[in-house]
Amino acid sequence: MVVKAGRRRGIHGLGVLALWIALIFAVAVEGQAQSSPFQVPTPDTTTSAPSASPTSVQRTDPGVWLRFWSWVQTTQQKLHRSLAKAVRDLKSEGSLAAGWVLASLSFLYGIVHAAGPGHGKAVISSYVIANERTVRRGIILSFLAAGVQALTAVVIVGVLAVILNAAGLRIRALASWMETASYALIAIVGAWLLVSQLRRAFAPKSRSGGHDHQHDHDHGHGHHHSHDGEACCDHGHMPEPDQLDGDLDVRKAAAIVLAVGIRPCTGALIVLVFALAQGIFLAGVGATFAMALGTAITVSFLAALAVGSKALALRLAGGQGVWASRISLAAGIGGSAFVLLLGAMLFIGSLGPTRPF
Amino acid sequence: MIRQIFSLFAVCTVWASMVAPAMAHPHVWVTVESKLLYDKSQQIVGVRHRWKFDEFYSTFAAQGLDKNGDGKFDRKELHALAEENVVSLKEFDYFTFMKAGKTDVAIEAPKDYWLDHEDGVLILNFTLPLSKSVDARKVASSLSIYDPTYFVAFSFADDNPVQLASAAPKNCSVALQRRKNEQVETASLTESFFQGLDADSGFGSKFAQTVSINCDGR
Repeated sequence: MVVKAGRRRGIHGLGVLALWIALIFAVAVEGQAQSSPFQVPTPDTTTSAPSASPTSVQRTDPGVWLRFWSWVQTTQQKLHRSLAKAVRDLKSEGSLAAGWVLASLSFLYGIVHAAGPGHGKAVISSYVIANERTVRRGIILSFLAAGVQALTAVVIVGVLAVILNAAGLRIRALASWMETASYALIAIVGAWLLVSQLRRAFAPKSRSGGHDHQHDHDHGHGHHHSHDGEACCDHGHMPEPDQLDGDLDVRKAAAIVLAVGIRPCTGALIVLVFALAQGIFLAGVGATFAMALGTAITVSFLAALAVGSKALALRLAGGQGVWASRISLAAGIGGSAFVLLLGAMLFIGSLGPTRPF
Repeated sequence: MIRQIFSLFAVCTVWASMVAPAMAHPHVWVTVESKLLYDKSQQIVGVRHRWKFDEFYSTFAAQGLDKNGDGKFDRKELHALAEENVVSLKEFDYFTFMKAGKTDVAIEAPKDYWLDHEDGVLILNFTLPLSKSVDARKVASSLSIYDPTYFVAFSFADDNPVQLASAAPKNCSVALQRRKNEQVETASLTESFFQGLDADSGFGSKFAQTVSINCDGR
């Protein structure tokens, strides 16, 4: 009886995880579809049958989400225009109020803009599913990634436009290159994560692990410190969840933050150059970081949900023991594979023809 | 049970927030003015575009191009940019789609192109020759301007955006189908909206700026 209940809960946990991976995949596909001029973006890529036509998607209220997204779309456009006006107003008035308006609009833009494709949402969410256990770390990583993206934009415009007075096309070319590089790095980090997870999973000599190890908790805790992929257990059971999660591995976290961060936010680039042209470059820098704050909030909300769902899945499966280990393993391997897949897809998608504008 | 419902709810919320149904976000806005060019036999042989860009894009693209530092951008300074623009437009069919009846009319390489910078915005002027002339008196013809990926948002200028050259037949006129980009939303976005998409059109076609050329007596 106990075993059956445990298995049911374990399956629930796996189900939650599977849903997560499915929606992250959907995000990735959605983002891909919109970045290539030769693909048709489909309205719903998350149906379980990939070949299902739009008519077969039954939502409870088909209008609600479309209206919501239409609202997001319109808001983004209005914000875009308002940002230009805010920069000009700040230039002409030079008041604190005008500065505050610019900062607030930029912040709002960051929040809404990050809801669309890009901005490392899917990558960070996959990463935290694979490699993190606490919501706090997920949030920290999201903020760091957004911060690095802002910094990248500032450095690009600062060096190219301010110092070198390079042409706008050159700036855009460099930004494209860094975007491609970012995606390649994400794929590489994904591969690294995947290899680590696989090594951890298969390194210990295991009898087929299906029995209780309640007595091993403390043992597991004591052993998981810095063995990167090494077996530590002479008991020969499946690795405990906390051996798999790598929450002490700062290098991987730094790698993913950098990989995501070197892709500059295009909205920031535009505002920076615009502010520079108005002669108030530093205001543009401020606006950029306000944008990054908004982006960070949106991304960290999703990363927190990702990690929270994983924690929930683990709790549903009983915290420790076989099912928890399996879920941790699935999360680790699935999440890493997704980071790799996303990086690869985005990389390929970014190699299209140069846009005319 | 509660926890399972909650987790499902959380996942669905995030799902909904992440599935943005084909809502590509324009980064560039263009106001379109066009003129249909005719030859002596009163057939359409080309399209003359005058595209005005938004100030964000204009500032970005013009960055670093004021070589002589006079605070103005003249055609010579902007030539390289104009060249770059029309060359990269080719991959995207110049965002211009001409139909004679059911047939698509092929478009050839642009000529007579230059960029002007007025009132803080860039204006791209260029001529697109048609590979075959079109007789609008014989066949229902239309001209559409849009970006299938909706990265660029086109809209017709307010006043008389599409004109026929003076060599046009007197009994021909244009009928505009405007799609104001901000207004394609809410109630009109139903499932059938997305069913209308096909492999050639893409989401941006829903924002196409189309003009049909009507000639009396056809």
